[in-house]
Amino acid sequence: MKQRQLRLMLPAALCLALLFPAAAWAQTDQELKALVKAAGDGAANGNAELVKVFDRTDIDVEASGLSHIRNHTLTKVLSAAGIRSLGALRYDYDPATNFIEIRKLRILRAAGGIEELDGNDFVDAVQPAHAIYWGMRMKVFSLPRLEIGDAVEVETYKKGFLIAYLGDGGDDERYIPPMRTHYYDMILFEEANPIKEKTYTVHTVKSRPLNFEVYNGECSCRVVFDDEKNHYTWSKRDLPAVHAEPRAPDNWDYATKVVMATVSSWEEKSRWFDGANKDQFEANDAIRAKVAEITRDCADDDEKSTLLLRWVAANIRYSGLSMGEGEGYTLHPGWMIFEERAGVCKDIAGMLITMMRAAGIEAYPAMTMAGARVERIAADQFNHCVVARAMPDGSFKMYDPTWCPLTMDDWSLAEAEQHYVVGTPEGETLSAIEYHPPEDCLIRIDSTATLNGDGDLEGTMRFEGRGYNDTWLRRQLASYNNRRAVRPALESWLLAVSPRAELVDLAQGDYRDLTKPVFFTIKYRIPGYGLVYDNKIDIRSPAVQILVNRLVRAESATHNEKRTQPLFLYLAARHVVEETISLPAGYSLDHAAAARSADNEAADLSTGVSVKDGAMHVACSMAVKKRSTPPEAYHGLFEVMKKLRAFRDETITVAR
Amino acid sequence: MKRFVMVAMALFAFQAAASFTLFAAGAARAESGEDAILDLIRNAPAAEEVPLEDYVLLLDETVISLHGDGRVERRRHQLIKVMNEWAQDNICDPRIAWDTRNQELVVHRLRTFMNDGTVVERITGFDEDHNLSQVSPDALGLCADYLHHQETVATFLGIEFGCVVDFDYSIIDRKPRGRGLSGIEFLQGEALALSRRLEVRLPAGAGAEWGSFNGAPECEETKGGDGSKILRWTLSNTPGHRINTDCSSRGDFVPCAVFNAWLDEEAGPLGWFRDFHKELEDAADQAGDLAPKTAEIIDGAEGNDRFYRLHDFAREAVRPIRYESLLFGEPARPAARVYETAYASQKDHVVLLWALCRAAGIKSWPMLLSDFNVNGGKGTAGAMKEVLLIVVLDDGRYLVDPAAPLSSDRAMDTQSDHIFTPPKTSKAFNILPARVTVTGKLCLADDLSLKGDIKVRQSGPGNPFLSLAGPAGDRDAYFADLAARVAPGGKAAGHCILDLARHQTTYSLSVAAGPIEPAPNGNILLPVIDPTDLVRSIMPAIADRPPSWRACPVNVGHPINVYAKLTIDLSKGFRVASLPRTQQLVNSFGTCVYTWKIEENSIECEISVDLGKGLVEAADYPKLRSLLIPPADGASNLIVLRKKD
Repeated sequence: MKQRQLRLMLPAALCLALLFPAAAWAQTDQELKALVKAAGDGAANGNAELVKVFDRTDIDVEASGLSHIRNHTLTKVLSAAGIRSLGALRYDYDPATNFIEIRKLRILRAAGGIEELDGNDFVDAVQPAHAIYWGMRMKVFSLPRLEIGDAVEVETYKKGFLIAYLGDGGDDERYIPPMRTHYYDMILFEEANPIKEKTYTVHTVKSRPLNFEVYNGECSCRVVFDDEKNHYTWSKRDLPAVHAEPRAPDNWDYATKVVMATVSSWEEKSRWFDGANKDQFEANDAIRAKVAEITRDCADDDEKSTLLLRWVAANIRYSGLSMGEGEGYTLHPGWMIFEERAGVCKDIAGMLITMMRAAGIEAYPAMTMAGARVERIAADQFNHCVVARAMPDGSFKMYDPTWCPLTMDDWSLAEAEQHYVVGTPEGETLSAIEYHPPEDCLIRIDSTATLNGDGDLEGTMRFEGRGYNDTWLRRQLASYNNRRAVRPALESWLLAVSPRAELVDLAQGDYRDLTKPVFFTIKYRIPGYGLVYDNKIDIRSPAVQILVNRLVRAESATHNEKRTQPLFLYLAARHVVEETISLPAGYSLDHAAAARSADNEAADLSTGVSVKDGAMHVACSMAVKKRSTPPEAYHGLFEVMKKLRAFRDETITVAR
Repeated sequence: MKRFVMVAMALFAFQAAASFTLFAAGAARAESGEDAILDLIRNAPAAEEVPLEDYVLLLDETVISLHGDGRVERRRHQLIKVMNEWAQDNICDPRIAWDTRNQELVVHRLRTFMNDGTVVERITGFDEDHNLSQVSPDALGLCADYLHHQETVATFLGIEFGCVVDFDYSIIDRKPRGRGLSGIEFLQGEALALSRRLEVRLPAGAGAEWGSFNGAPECEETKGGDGSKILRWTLSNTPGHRINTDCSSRGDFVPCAVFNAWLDEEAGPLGWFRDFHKELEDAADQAGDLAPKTAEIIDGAEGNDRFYRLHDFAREAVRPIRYESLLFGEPARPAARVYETAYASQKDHVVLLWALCRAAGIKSWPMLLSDFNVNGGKGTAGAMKEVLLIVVLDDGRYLVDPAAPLSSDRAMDTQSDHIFTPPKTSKAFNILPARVTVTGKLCLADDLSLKGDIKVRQSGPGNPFLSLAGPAGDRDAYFADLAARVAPGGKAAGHCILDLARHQTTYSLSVAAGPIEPAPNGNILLPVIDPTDLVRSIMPAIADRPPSWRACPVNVGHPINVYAKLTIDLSKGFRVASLPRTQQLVNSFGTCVYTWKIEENSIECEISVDLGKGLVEAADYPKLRSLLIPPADGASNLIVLRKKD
């Protein structure tokens, strides 16, 4: 994809405006105090704990790509909770690739006076970590007791990058990004507390202009070129606090952001990624033997690829150790992961590539972003690594061994429409996984039950899924719950129907058999489930209750009529109930829940109740059509969920 | 594979840190155990033989040694067979918490026996500690004073279903941290353990007391010629069990060994407690500017209100952190430092509130809460899990958690047999029943609107109205929730009187709800106001849709008595089609009586729940559940009205 380079030539007079950040850094104490006062109190800031009076960043990028980052913040305490949360400051860094120091640390007291603190008075420790143990460190400062109205001023200097990169000598060498001479970044404006002013300035060398674009809102931006450098400034004032709505995507998808990169195209990024990792996929004898064992009965490369994917997904668990040099963007060598049987996504992907190549299949690593979109600027917007198999027609087929444990598909359908860039010697552009319709992730309940004249109900429900919903059901049996917890977990589904429900028996398919969808069947009884009166019995569909309360992911996040952020459910899915309830002798349908239907761009619904041959039949089919429902389409989903809940809650009356 | 090199190196490190005697003992055990280890692996059960196990402990050995100089070494050796996906995801990166300033961690063995016989100890080209990662605990990420407490994550390599992991490590004190050794060691866990052994090694001259609880085997005592002794508990084929997530006191039901040893004969078995008390007292004494701050806080307040203000201040002033090692593994920080840093371990928090109380002249002292019944005053530091403050107010003594609202007594009154305040236990903390009385009258008008008043009074312990002493927003939410139970869309205006002195809360609610929308089939469904909801809110274990199973007791802590009498007057245009069933449930645990009747055009509901025990054993849980499963569940067993024809 050809990137459009955004340049805005400004009259020389506007250059003065660029001096604003520098001038601001030199503000007098009186000016700072005035800003603190003007920032207002808690009431003026939506009862926030803290308000950032300003947050200014200035980045100077050298020709090598090494960046010098100065950040200057002034944060005001608005509440007791703010005192507690600002009582300690934490600065994260990776000793292998970046360096940070605190150059100024002061408290502007509300009662008057300014306390100068020692920027070297910190505790340096390893960061808390789970699943990824790369030795990232942090500097933690304990501040003297703060009071409401106090403000904390911090100036930091940092050089290097936030992810691990190659380093092979010299003092500053390890801080230079592996994609030498290049720079990229993403700025996010809104945060959990309000900000009065946020400014971000980048200076790049003449030969490295930035491509940039603003998303999810607006900010002011200015660009000036002088004889030595290109100067870019983005700023925004009076930013409100932003809090995620239920099931929102990553905030990169809705908060104002600027994406920038000196890299001109995705193809360039792709070639670099290939070059950085091309030596990691060498198989050894042990790997070749395992590949031969796994693929010995395979008819073709499709089958080989699937079986290799399943072996890697099942046998390389997610736990990341540092290999030292190159950690962070370089895939661990295949032989190493084969020995460790553990790694993070890039390492698990590397294992599959190594095994595919050992089987004679052409495969490459690919970068992707799980949980947010990737914008067209070729900045590093990725958090996940997968595998691309080169097909004879020049296309790629994607495989994700990290997301595919206990999955029948080669690609997890929870990752549909996800953007990716494959790393190849030729260079590839930004692509996206295709859309998968709801039927690909079907989940259905087939329910049969018998109601007696006292309102007692007993029956069985069979659960089965397709696509990601098949995976989800397998994980209920295998990994979300330990062995002893499976039955209580499924009992809790029944208890959501009635606290008197009893799980009589549980039967299940083999969750490790990936040749056919898994199932499980719950046999149950519920004494006194029906409401008996006037020779009538009222009941609700037990299967529809489980469907809505437990299986429809949209349920918990669709109770508000409006949203300002997308609703991110990871997958489009269809939910189906087919239920037959045998009625007591002599009873017939007296009142059926009204049939409901709807079909819009976000969702559809179809329900019905009928009686035939002494049995009541309940049918319900509901689909969420989008992986991520934008705010403008959300109302359609809201209306469908409202109708679905009404169908769930409405009683069906049978009468003698 | 470089197995022998690694063992030798690990042992060398161990030798440098420990006495020769200990090194020799450790080395002997490691060497002699190799054949036994291979034997255990060969004879380990296959996954299909133990279908309920995610993993099996083939061997679980713990040796805790008290040295003559007061240092303690704890060695743990486990041989674990990994059976399935859950185990692969959940047990293969264990964390070891240790104090890097005062202790040393030595990993003797960390290796995996794969199914094909390969033994994976390290990855080619990497050091033997490649898969040992040090991290800061999550809870302490912003606590500069405590960041020497670290966790080492041991990443098991070469994991596959059916493999066996051999993990053997020691945590060794660099210097004495107390005048003895104490602890509670649980001898049953979530997985089947084929062989489990606990040894406590004591030097000559040490005094000791110990016991076995909840079905644990008796201790075998062996004396050495030099006067040293070894206490040993040995078990085989201990089944695994699943414990409910709300089980707070495992010491009440999980087989365990409890021990307490002291080196200083004069100090005796309770020396540790006197040391602990003194440590907190010294920390509270170092209050800095908190004395004038206290005067400022209580200025103008009288009686108990002075304490309420101090408690509010202590709650607001610091960010509470919870990390198990900080209770006895770290000296108490001075009160002034706690306030300065704006974060507090539970011990810090007690120090802060105690300092404030002392400055205000309010009598108070710290107490400890044990993980098991302290049985009349005996207790060991290792079994203590919480520290709280006892405060003497106008009308009695109260147990206070500095981090929790006063209205939330966390059923403390009810765990009086867990409270450790030597020389006496807490006889003064009588176990009182929680009494909840609900009375009210509602009227249903022709337009199906519902109006009336309800009064709820609670006395005794328990936490049915947890938010009422809290912020106004919480109170409003609570009123709204109650109103919604009366009728969907209902609104309520209410007020609450919290009388802490009498431990009584009264809550008055005026309800105006409706009009209630008839169901599509013409039924008018009146929601049942079910005061047993209040009982369930006191008892988290059965709060909402309780499961049918239970592996540990329900620790309500106190008996419960609920009485409710509600009348609903109906407009003459309606008739009652159905009422919830009148039923009387009686079992050995208590009684629940639900009475529903129609008097002219009034529905009268009388509910009485009388639960006589504070601690319900797991075996009795079905009886408890049968009493408290709601008589109405929103879908059936409801009040059904129809318009008269």
